[in-house]
Amino acid sequence: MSLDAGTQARLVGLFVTEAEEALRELSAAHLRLAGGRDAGDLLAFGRTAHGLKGAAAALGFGELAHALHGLEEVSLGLADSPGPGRDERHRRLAVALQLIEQGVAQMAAAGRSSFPADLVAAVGEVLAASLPAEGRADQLAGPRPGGAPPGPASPPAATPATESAAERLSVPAAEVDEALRLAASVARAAVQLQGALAQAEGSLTTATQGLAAQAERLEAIIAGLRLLPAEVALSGLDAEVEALAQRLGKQVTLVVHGREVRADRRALQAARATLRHLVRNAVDHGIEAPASRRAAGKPPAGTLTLRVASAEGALQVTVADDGAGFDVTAARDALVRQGEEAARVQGMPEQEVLARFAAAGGSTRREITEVSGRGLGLSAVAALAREAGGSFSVQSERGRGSAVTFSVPLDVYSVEALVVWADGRTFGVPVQALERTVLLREAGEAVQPGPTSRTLATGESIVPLIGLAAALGLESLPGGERFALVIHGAGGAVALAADDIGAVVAVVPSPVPGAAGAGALVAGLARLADGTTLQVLDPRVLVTAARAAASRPRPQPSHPPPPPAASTRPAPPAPGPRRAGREVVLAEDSLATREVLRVLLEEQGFQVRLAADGEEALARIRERLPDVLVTDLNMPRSDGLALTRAVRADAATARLPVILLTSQDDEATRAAGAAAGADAYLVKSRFGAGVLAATLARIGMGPAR
Amino acid sequence: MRLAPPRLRVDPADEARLSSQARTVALGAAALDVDRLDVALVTFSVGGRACALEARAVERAVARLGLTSAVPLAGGGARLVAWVDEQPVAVTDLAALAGLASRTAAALALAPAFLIATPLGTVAVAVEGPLELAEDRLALAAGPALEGLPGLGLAGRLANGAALLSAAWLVACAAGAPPP
Repeated sequence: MSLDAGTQARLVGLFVTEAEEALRELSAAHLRLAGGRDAGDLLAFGRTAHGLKGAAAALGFGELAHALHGLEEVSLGLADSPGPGRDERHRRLAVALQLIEQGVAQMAAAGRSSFPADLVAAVGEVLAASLPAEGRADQLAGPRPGGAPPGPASPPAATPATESAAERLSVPAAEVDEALRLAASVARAAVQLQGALAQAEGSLTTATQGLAAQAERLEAIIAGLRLLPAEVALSGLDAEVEALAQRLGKQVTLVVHGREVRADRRALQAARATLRHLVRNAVDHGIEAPASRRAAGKPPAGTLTLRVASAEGALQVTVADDGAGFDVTAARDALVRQGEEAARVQGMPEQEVLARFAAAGGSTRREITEVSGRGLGLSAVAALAREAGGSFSVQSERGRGSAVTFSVPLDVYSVEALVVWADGRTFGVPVQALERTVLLREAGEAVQPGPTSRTLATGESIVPLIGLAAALGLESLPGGERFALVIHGAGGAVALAADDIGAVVAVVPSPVPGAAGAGALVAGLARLADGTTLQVLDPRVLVTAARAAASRPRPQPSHPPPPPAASTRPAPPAPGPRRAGREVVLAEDSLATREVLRVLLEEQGFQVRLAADGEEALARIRERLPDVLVTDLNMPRSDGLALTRAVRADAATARLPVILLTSQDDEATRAAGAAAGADAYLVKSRFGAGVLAATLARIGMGPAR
Repeated sequence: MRLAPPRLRVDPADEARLSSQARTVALGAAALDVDRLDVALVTFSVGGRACALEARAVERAVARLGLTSAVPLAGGGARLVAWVDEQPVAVTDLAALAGLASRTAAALALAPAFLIATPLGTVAVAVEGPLELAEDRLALAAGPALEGLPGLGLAGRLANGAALLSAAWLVACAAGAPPP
């Protein structure tokens, strides 16, 4: 994957920070080893060197990765070396560490985009005399079929970063967080000022528009300093998997979800080396060779699925493969050999066996090898998650595949949330958890009464339908709810009835000790542009609470429901009866956003035909000309601008009204939209039923009646 | 309103006594004779009664708390939260802790508040005004409960008759304040 100079510079910056930390750990572990400490220190040294090797390989520092591989091998030889040979290994390791530190220091000081070649050559030279004929690090990482060489994957060519892009500044994270809060405050004030002066004309309005746009841009830049896309942790992985699979004679398809997820630098750093461990081990030991797969009735190419999500204040990473799965029997044997009671181990569920094996894994090389050499990866992952205060789990089915999930808490995170109103209060539902939105008025017989709660038939499943207010323990009577949100959590799916829904907004929620945070109903609080407090809900806890509420007897209203409490939300437009034939094609690549828009458009009386990208939308339009096109700007294959231009270029569709919908609110994007031929331009963060209705009316597409 | 750091005022006439007390504290030999010390205070009222808290327990004060939001809790109930310096902080109404009726969100929005650090994090304690900085002398190290406000934990009484709240009591209550 080729990277632009800015991204490459960020990646190098991450590598330098990670390398500095890793070298501190390596030096400390080496000192302990030199002092005659136990095999645990040796393992810690090997793990750290292994992780740094993976990071170097991912960045395209192939020679450095080879040198680190040598460091790992020489350290492994310490266990078996007699006195003089052991001393010599220690000496060489110390010198090699100093040289690597020197190189990393040069990268940090001079903003270099690569590790100094002379130093990496010197490291190789120092270690060469102590390297065994056969790679021992391979044995630690697991056997490699066919005697494949142990080195890192062929790295993608590194894009040279420009000097200015490569320049790095180290600033305290707390100060960036403070700057982010202030920028958010300024942005909100500017938007409020713009709204207050919306009726005015002339230069004042222009000035406030500019101020609002610049303030929001400032906020985005500062958020970008703190929150990096997961791509930072994933870059180069595609090439690495391809190269490793080729070397091992395997066919592997890598599917990655969540490249766009944004998380803080520390969490991504912590996750990067770990997920690479897991991916390499899955390719090496999980996914079988094509012949074995065919014999097992599987397609010759294995699928490796990597899923990154930022939810409930944690970065969650899952690496799943459809390979051979873990040998749980061997893991049980290993636990017994380590002193666990045999009868107890035999009675343990598989998941617990694997979790315990992971926690204790890697204590001896023999055991690692017997369980497909996967002990080290699991052990390292479990240790990382534990040390970071996160979680770790393994699922495996022999012959069907395995999935390893770990999470690390996020210092700060961004979440896309759908704004919903219930009981006069404003909540945010993370779109990642949102499966579907339903306009209750149109639901018909899909809504049925149940013994304790209503149910909603959606797709192929029937889920409990309960008021969001009731799920949150708020005292309100059902009656004013117009939408149902089908969300999924750990306990399954549930439909939550809300009074109204609004825009999908990107916010950085803040925890409130004792009120909002990990494990609470409300994961964090943020403020919308107009100053309204947005309570961002934790879907996992919410689903549990909703299911509990659904199992309680429903209150029977003995009087009409009270009028809803005062709210800052705009009054929703009066819905009109549907008139057949009024159609809209909606192009949006985000499933959750598409669902929200669909239901809002349906509420306006439109029949909605969906498309996931520009190409699909164009096909829909050519199948049958709709009355209006609503399209996202950024989409795969063909974006909103290309789609708009294609519509305007075809005489059959040239007069089709087009509404561009995007999160980018700047003059350049607006100008590009206008140049492409769009009739209207809506910003997602200010989007809602009222805004959509007004825009449709402005372009002559009022509610279909 | 941002509180200025309290100024330390040393009366030359008390210098010998303060030196003696400092030596006593340093040696740990005997309890401090607290009832004769001047204390830097934040003063306010609760249910119309003059109260105070040692200023060193206060991190920050605001003239008006602003709009609060009730954040639902998984175990039931809710916790009030307000925005101070662009940070959401949990809110405790001191009137409710004192056994008076909880104030409405509208009343709290206009109430002054000070922020204190608790083991759970920063909490805003809503009081009644006027909220001021002062210095006064402790007249009684441990006072009886205030009449009509039995819920307040007191550390003593000041020379002017105001009740001095126990900072430890307030921190504990604010950290685990019951739902409003």
